Amino acid sequence: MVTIQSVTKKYGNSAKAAVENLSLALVPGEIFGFLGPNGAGKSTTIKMIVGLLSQDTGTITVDGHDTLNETVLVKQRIGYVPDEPLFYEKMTANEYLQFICEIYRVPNEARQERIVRWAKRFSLHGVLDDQISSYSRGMKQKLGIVTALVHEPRLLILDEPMVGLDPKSAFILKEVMHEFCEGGRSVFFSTHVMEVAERLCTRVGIIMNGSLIACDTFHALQERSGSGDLSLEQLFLEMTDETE
Amino acid sequence: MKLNNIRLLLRAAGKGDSRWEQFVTISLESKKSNSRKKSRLVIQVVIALSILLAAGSMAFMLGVNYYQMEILGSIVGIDGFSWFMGAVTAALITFMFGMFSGGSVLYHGKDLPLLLVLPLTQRELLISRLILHYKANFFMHTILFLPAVAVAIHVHGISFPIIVAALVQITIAPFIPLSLSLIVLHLFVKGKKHTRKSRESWAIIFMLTLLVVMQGLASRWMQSGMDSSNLENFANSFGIVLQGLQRILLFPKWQMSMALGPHSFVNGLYFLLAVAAITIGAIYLVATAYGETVTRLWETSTTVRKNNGKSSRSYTGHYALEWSLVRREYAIINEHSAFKMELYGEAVIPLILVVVYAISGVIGEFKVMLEPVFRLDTFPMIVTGALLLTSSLSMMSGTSYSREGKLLALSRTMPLEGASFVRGKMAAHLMLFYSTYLIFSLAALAIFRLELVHAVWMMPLGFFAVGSSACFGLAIDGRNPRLDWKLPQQAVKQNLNGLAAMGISFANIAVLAGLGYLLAEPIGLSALSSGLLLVAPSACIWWLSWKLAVSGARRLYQAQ
Repeated sequence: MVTIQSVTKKYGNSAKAAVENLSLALVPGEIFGFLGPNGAGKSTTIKMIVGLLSQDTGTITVDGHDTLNETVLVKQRIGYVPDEPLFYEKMTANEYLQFICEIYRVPNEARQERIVRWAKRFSLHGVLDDQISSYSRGMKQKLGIVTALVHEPRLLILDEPMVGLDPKSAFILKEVMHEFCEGGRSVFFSTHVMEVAERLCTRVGIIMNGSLIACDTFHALQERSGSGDLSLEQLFLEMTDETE
Repeated sequence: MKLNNIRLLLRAAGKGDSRWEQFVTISLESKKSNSRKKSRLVIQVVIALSILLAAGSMAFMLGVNYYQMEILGSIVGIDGFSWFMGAVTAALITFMFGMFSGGSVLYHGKDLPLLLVLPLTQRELLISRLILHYKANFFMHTILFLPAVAVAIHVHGISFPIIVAALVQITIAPFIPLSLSLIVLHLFVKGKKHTRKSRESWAIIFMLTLLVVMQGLASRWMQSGMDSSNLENFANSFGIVLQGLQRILLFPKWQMSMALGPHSFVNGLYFLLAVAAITIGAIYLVATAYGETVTRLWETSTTVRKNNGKSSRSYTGHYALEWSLVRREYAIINEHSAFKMELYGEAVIPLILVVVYAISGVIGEFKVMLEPVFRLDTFPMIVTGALLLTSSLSMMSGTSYSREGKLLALSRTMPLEGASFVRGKMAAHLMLFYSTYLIFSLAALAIFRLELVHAVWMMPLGFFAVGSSACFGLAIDGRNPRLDWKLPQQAVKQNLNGLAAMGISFANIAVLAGLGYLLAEPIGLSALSSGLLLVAPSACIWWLSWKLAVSGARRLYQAQ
């Protein structure tokens, strides 16, 4: 679904790379958790996959399409929830979702049904006709998730999606991520909440100072550490402390 | 390329951004009561009418100037010179504004990170941004040029070529300055050391100079009125220059000839072909790697700039509390070009005008005009009154809390008394406007050869009057700040608090002028004694305004 091969990214004239020689692959039907301390390179990696940043070296493909040369095809396959939700705030949520549906060529007959379905799922149904500027942080986050889902992408990419969500919405999002992968589609998300990653992810990748220091299933990581009863949080702290 | 995508992007960008909505000071929310809705609607209509009145008076002033140029042109043998100058003026100003809007729309739009992840081609995105760029400048270009059409019709009568040329001029001619602005912008953003601030700062300096030079020229025209002997003298001196200009500047020459020349069709064709060439060239230049440029600019704006180990005063220095607040005040102003244009413009334009008037000789003519007043004993007081008016009528403090916008919530969390904020804001105001008052005063003492001893009362009087202006402004804005703005212009230009503060400052100067008159005329004191005595009431007014400002700040910063 996603292949990242020997990708390096530097910002401006900085001597240090934000992401260095990163390689990983995401297979269809998996939920991949991307973990790492602040400034490790998680968001930079995500922004390269969705086409917000371009890598200096290496290649990234989504569904076989190169992110630098086939940008439109790649973007059509992705549903992206950024770390900070961004909208045309003077639109109502309904207008904004219609706009997204038109851009992604969602068939007319399916549009309203999908908007209403996803809005109901995230309890936004009653405020669809309100201006987005009147939404709270959590409501904007939920609208961001609905926006990413409404065009039925092949790959869902979420950057810290749990931030700002109430417990019920966080629970629904986890359910949705599971359902999403059942049809062979994939989820790639970054998080600082280790419990979520532990329970939800098929595999996790841990990035530190721009390099991938671990990438496997939770149980494989436990086995590799030699202690079968460590939580993901403990493993994460152990690995990142060692690397420091 | 899908035209539907371009249509969608234009619709999305235009949402809630109509001219009318830009006038709106406070949104009409459904939750508000009907009476408040009505009163707000009245305010909006008043503001809209005021803006239309201002635009109308500007168009009239331009019309008078264009008319004089038409007469000047007929003296030096250029028929339709008003059209020529109208085209040049509209193009120059549109070019400067295009530098701002082009930068914001094409490269720094707040919605670009949102659009970059959508399945859109570079071309679709670029074309939608170019149309927005055109839309943003079309209205102003039209307002600047229409008076020239009115003059042409008034002088030459209405004709088919004039109508066609006017339509072409209004719709097609903006492509020239906008294409040029695209080329300059492209060169700026391609530069390795490019920053948005550096580009905007150059554009502001260039535009202020341009506006002031135009104002200087306009004052000269208005001053000479319709006196044709003055124009004849001018034509004798500058006729060759004007004819040379008309030969060199091909675009306005073709535009003029298209409307009023003997070969209007051929000139129109030349003009259209040249516009097409320059527009296609500019678009081609920008289109090469537009997506990469936008991504690179976005990338650099979201990453922390390293200081390569150099020590930075902002990290190591220890500042007095008020100085930190002053620095914060200027940081807020420097954040938006709309704030910078308004506030630095208020402070600096009079200063540049004085320089322009001095260079152009207008100031000498003022001196001659003021000769009868100059002999009056109260002349130093009259000069001081005029200088105080220039330095006190400003939006700086009357919009200070409003400019903070949503960040005011952050100020509320700071462990500071309201008085500390007022001190910081007043100091920021004095730094900008009292310093310019000091420069004006020293210039006035020198130009009008006033005795230096007058400085003894002019300086403290100015301090208290400008200080009162700051405090009254803070008192007004502190009671009802406009924090919910979306466009920075709404916090300053369209903020009624600023206008109210200017009104009170005007009243303050009027009271001081009245007291000064009482002391000098019925009582018969000298200008020096009257000036010295005026310092006391001005200090009292400042004290009163200070109290009002502090009480306003206390209420504003307390828990709500």
